[in-house]
Amino acid sequence: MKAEREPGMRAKRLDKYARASGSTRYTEDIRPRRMLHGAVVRSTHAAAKILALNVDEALAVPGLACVLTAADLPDRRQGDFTDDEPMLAGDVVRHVGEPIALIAAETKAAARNAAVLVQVRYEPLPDAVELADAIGAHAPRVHDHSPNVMEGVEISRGDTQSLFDTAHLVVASTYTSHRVHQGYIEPRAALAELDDDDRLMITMASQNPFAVRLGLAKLLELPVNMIRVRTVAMGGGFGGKLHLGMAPYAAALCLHTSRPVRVVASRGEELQASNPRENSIVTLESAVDESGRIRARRATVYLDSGAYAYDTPVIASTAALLSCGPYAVDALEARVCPVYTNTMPTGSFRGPSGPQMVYSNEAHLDDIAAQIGMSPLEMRRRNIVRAGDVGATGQVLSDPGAEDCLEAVAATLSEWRGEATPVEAGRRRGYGLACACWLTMAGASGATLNLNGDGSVTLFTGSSEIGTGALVDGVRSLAADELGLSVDDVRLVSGDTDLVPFDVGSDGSRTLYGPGRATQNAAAEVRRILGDCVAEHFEADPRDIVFEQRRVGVAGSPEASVSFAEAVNLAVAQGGSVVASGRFQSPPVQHDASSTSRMFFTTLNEPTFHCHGAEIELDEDTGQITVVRYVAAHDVGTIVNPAGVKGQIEGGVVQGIGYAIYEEMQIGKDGVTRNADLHDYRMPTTADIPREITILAIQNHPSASGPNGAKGVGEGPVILPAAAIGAAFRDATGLHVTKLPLTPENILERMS
Amino acid sequence: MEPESTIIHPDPVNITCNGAAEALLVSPDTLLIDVLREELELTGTKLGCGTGDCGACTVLLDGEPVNACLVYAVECADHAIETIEGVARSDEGKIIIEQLVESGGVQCGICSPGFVVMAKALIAHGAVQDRATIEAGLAGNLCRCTGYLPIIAAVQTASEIIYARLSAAESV
Repeated sequence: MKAEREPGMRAKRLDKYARASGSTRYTEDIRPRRMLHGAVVRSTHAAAKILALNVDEALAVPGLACVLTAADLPDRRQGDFTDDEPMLAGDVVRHVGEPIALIAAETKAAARNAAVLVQVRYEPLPDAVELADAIGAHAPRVHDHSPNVMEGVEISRGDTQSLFDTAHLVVASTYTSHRVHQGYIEPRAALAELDDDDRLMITMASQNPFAVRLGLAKLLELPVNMIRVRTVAMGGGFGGKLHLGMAPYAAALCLHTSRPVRVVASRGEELQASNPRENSIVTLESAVDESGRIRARRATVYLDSGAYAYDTPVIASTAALLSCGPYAVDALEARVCPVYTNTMPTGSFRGPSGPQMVYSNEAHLDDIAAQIGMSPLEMRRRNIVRAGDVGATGQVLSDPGAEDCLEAVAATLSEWRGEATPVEAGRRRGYGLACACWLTMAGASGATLNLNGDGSVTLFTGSSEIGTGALVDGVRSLAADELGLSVDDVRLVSGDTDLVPFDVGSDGSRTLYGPGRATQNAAAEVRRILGDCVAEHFEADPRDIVFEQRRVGVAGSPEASVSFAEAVNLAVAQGGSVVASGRFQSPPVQHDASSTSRMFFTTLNEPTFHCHGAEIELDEDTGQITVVRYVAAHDVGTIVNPAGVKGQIEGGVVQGIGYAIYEEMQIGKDGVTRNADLHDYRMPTTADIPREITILAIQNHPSASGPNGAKGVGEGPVILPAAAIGAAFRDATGLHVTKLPLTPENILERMS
Repeated sequence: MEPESTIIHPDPVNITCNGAAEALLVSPDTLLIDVLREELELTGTKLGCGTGDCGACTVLLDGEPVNACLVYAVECADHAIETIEGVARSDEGKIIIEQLVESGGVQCGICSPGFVVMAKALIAHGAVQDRATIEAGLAGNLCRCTGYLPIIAAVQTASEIIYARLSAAESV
């Protein structure tokens, strides 16, 4: 993998050294004076009326500072898109783990002890814990204001009915998928303090600090500018830190005690009361012609939203856009509905809805291929999108990299098959591939560059560094490249609502894309300011000014140049501080607007295409699948940060393998998570990874709107492994699996 | 759930932490991780799970790796603890950290101190020659960002550098 242009001068990764040495401070490492420890009292019922709440014993715990219940707080609701969630449950609880009361105490032990002593008397109500049950017409309602099945999103493009009526073959498949946790190693935490102006200051690891500020304003009835949210080092997020997390609890306790309060979720709380990836039921139906072309597709998808909506209404749009995969379909009818259940509310997890939509699409395609006697590869070759084909909503795909990805992986798998040695007795080997499309999320970004007298630059931009290096390596190097500086010359300030421009967050594979383009726009303005000044100094044409090697000068005249620092000082003396801002909003994407209903996203902005291939071995006795080798082809556009691309793909693949064969939140009929610790919630370890992950970066389809032609790469890698491994299992056994995950239990059940 | 003790035992527990003598006033059920993070303000040791499954709180107890979330402070009486803050200052620690960063083995970094400490212990037991040994040695440390391949490569390279230096020093 080679970058089209390496950043001129490579930086030493100071932040990474600090992280590895333990000196970087994460939220839980910050302790102001007089800080109280918070704890949350949570529901033990999936659905119940709260009859009585007794806090007397809790109040008697030595060191207790404060107990809050719903009665002490404004009666407000908040949510990402539907304001349906109270900070604390008042009359009813809708899931196990729902917060009921808040405690602040002098020590962690006192806070936890007091939390245990809060007595809640419940009257259980009929519940709808399981998705399949909650969909039913007679299921108990989770909310009075809405049926469980929320008004979903729809796509209706082309004459689906007549294509089904005249089809050579109609194939229908239904798949169920499981719930998984983001598994960030740093549990969610928040520290709330009052600043010198008595404003509320929240310190936390947030992927979207501006959304946290807005949500807190709603819940606490505070003006937005009385709240500051500052993001410190983030110990993993993967979508799970897009929401308010512990911030409301820390904030309410801080406002009531006028002392700093830190609230940290335990791992048990993470696995019982967080916002994991939604489980789902996906039904796909295809009208196929004699040649194996899919002419029309119907898709019905139910996404388990849990007790509150969170961002599932948006995820529904993504699922709808993925409902025909990276395949050219003449007509599509898709309906995707979030469904309320009496479980913890689900939310974004890296590539939301992706793994189950890709699995369903690919397994369904293989069902069709099996029925018409065609190889999975040929089936894909006949249907894959090519230049000029349209996506789900009629979006014209002018330069899709899908076919390049498919052929690259097909060639690798063919090589691996050729090298195959006999397998041990009791084991089977299989090869499978899967294709997918994804997006680079649209949205607003801004950036400001402030130039210092020594020639260094402070870059202020939105989003927060989630650990991928997208800001710290990627965006910083874009600024350095534009100005002819080293990455070390550029300091980054991000993730603080008081300091940086508004941004829609570190999500949707957009952190390099949006802030990167805004930063390039700001840098262009800096070049104009400095360029004009230096041109005047040397009596040259501003168009001849170049920025290279920390110097600003006239092209072709080595003597006519000044150091970057001198250029800054000249410009300051001439016209004042050198500061410039840039903005970015992704341009609208043409599509068939009449084909969509209620969709938050109507197109795949800067679409990306992907193909993964897996070599697996199956232990016939245990049902355990082992991924031996793995190949991942990604249409990434121009590479800005090669190490970042590699890190995203390798890490995403392993996370996807976890989704496919190891991880599942086991939620009982009572709504209690049975495996609420990291022993029984089994994430991949060093012992569970493929011996090699081959990365094939397809770079000949640059994006139109991304920085230097870059596309998003954060989420794609995680959405394909289940499908590729499922295809390899089918190759090994001839069996298809309609129920994820591909754990030994499910595999053995399928094989029996 | 049993209430946690809030009574401090009157006799201090004496430990050595990163070479310094510390007299700790703790309860019988105070965990080592809480002493390190809250009392000694050594926050490089991270709490990821509290059940010994993620390895983010790995420290060395008399040179052997333990999960600080599973060890009571009183169990450490008269023993030596080395945390990431100590390991990072050691020659081996510096080499491991350098390799981990340069290989791409650090993304969000929350698991990194635990990996560094565990790697030091692994390498101290003998030169790491093969991938299987590293995989087995690091299987108690979870990383959710990198997919492990760069971490495994870093530990292997660090081991080679450390043992090359040792043998160079011996031959002088």
